[in-house]
Amino acid sequence: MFMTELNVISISKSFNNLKVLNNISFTVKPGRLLGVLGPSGCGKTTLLRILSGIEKVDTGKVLINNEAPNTYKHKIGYVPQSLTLYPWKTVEENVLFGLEVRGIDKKSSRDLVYNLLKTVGLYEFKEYYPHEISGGMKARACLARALAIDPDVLLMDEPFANIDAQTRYYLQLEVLKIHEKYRKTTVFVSHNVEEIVFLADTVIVLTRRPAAVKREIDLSTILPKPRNMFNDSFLNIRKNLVQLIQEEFM
Amino acid sequence: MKFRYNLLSLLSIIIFILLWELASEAQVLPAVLPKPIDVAYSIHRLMDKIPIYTYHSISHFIAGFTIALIVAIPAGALSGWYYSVRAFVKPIVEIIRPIPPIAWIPFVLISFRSDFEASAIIIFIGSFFPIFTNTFLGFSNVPLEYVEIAKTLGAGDLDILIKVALPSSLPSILSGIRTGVGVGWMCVVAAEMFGPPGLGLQIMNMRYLHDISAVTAYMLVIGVIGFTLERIVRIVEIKTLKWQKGFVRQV
Repeated sequence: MFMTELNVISISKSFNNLKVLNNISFTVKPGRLLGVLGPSGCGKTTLLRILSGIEKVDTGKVLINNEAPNTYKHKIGYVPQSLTLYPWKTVEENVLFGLEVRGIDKKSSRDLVYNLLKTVGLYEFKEYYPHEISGGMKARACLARALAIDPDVLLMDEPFANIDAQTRYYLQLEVLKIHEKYRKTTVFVSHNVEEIVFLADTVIVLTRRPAAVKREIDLSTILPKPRNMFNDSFLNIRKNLVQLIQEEFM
Repeated sequence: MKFRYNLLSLLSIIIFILLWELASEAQVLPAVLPKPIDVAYSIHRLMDKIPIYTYHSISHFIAGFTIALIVAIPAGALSGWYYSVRAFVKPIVEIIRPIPPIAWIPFVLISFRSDFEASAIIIFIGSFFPIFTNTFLGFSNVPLEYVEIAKTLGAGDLDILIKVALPSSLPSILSGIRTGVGVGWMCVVAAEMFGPPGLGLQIMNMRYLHDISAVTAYMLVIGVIGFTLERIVRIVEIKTLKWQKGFVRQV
């Protein structure tokens, strides 16, 4: 299967006079999951909004397979922090929406959507409305919606931030499972260190605002997947990352 | 719970009629009140004429209200959605809005050829503004998130307008329509008081005959129809918007 490489080259972004991103560069190799860690308010969401095309950079550029992002050519799957779903559409219709606006009719996409819903465990709830499902289910629905368009890049902005700890464990396992199945080049933003250590192939730690890349660590060589949250290497890496973030508060 | 509510409502209406009867007997207020019995008798007496006048009034209403829908919804939607349209349309709306529909009556009676058109236009003017304003608010308050998500999924501008902004604004639009129905129906009466046939004209005619029971009878008919019209819109609202959390609480 074709996998995408994502390159971010020296991007900076300010809002009015507030500089939020400061010369950020990183690469996500095809099929890998990049974890982005950083203190709250450092600009992680802005970074993702830029990658998704919602915001524009001030300087620098983003390259998808060495080309500038193009809405016709490239497909970006975005899971927002707010887990926004359209309240007037059922779960199934929400997931279909990305295909609908690309002109793909419902009949052809039905099987694809049903399979996706089964993968995220929402098939029984496909006709429910967003206000009738839980936060964890909304996260799954948003993930399914993002995957439905067969994206080149998958962006997840702290999708489990507002979800209870127990559900979060299951959802993290799902993300891992889905990543292994679909091998989407993914950028996963979180302030939860354990979550990142569990999921990421590579991690970048951001400084506080204006955010720059404080450290980049390749976890795939030191921690083979599947990972055990309780073994020593895991906890050690987690400790190191926590310390890195805490330094930003001093 | 619903039974109790309906019981209390029924009780309230009965008590109201009783108080009305007492007030008319005792002649307490500085006004000559018709007795409920007389009003009921008038309704009975006028039973064969009420349908035709109702037909006239409803025709005026449907004509004017339909034009209001056709003009106000697109105007409100486009003004709410596009800044340039808003800049163009809003000043005109804001200048005309403060003019009460009733004030338009002389103008309209002179400038429009037929009485029917004149009435319809008055109703149009009355119902236009609530529909326009609420539609406008709906479209200008579409949550940015909804639009952003659609963009990341690759939706084009037209798709976003029709498939995101419109459904998102639908509660406001329907609310505007409901208010528009109420105001529009009130304008029917005003529009007919000066010539065009209908329930409103009958109120004036009965007044000239000093037949206050008949006047009251027609008032009640008008009230009931207005109530029914609003109920219909309300039911459409509820059926269409069942996806809104906690919406169907007060009917």
